[in-house]
Order: sequence, then structure tokens, then C-alpha cells
Amino acid sequence: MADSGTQQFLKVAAELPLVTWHPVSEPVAIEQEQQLLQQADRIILQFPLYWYSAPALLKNWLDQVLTRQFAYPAAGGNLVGKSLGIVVTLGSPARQFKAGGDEQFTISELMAPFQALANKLKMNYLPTFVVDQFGYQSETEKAKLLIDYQRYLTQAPLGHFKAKSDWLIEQLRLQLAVAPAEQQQQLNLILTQLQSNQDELDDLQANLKLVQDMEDD
Amino acid sequence: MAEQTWATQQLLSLAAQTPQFKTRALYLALAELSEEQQRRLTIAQNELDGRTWNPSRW
Repeated sequence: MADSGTQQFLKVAAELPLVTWHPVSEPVAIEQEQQLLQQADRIILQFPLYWYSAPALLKNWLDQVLTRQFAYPAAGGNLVGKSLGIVVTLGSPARQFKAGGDEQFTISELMAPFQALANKLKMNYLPTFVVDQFGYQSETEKAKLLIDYQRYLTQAPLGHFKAKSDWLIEQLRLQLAVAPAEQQQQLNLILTQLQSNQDELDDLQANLKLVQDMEDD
Repeated sequence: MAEQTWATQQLLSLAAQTPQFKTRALYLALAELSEEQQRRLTIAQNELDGRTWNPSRW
């Protein structure tokens, strides 16, 4: 769903090699949309929260594109095994979305219909990515949001420190390829350092696991 | 340990002199990664020392 400053920011953030940014519009070209879905490994629905749900445009799109024949695992099963993620932007603070908060319900509760959809279609449902009060965020918060969002789109798997580390180091490698010549040496040294830290951490954790296994015996 | 502080410092200094927001955001995230690696290395090393130093298993 295009429009606001938040979506513009996320759109620029999403300019990555393996990401397709696709605004939904009407009338819906059902077959083309289905083809796009088939090409993706991770399908992210991104929208501002309208009355605790997705805007009607997106709901309408889902109703038309996810035909029984296309999506049902017993029929076409075209989405089986893909991941489904939700990026939801909020005008009010995320901290209010909890039992006892102003909004009373958690984002996970409100997004339950999408979880049910993923379950029905045998998709892997990802933790929801919440962007709240974008306009109030500091420069540093926005920088962190940008990277977290890019990771949400492309890092696999989500949620593990090692996966995050591998992802960031890979981004540094890509940056190295386009960085000015005078920064190459510096960036190379940093890359080597971060990679060697990660290797050392992996070794330590492997050793720890050995020791823990011995204690269990 | 000193080397990791070096990497963090370099990344923060690169971030400060990078005008492009996306690149700056990456350098800041890498600086944070460098610090987090350092914390985790210390914790893992200490835990390994603690578990290995176990008189009941001598």
C-alpha cells in the first residue's frame, strides 16, 4: 500500500537485489498476481493498520487472488512451504497494543486472520514486523529500522544472532564492491575482523556444547 | 578485544563521514554487531572457563 512517508522510506529500503516491491491496485489482474506470488519465497503483506485490520484494498486483493484452485494445498497448493510475513505500520505507539494498554489487544492477536491463512495454506508464518510512529523516530532509530526491515525481507532464518551476523557481513561484502578506492583497505580489515570474531564465537559455542554434553553424561 | 574496539571505532567514524543514509545505516548496524560479538565472546569465554573449572570432575 503506497502513500505516506513511512511507505516511501520502506520502499527505498526495499531496493535490494532479490526483492520485488509490488503495490496492489484495482482492478486486480488475478493471473499476473498469482504468477508474482509463485516467484517469491517470502511473501510480505505490508500495510498501515486501518481499524485493526488490513485496508479493504488489500483484503479485496487477497480474496480475489487466493483462489481455491490456486492456493488450497489440496488443489494448486502454489504457496505451500513459502513464508508469509506482515509489515504493519501504526500511527499510535506499539506499547499500547497489549492487555491493559489503550488498545487492549496485541498485534499478534489482531493479525490472527493472517496466521490462520498461513496455516490453511501450509505457509510458514513469520513474526510480524511493526513500525510505529515513524514520524517521531530519531535519525538513529530510522537507521536501525532500515536495517531491521531489510533483514526482515531477506535474512534467512530470522531471529538468530548467527544469521543476523552472516547477513550483515554479507552486506559489508556487497558494500566493499562499490565503496570508493580509498576505503577499500579499511573496509577489508573490518570485514576480516568481523568474520574472524564470528568464527571465534562459533568455535567457542561448539566447545561449550561439547562441555555441556559431557556434563549431561 | 582491543581489535574489536578498533573495528567499532572505524565503523562509527565511517558512518559519521558517509552522506548516504542507507550506507550510514549499514555502518551503524555493523558497529553494533561488532560490540555484540565482543559481548558474546566474553560471555562464551567466561562460561567455558566456568564450566571447565569444575573440581568435582577432576
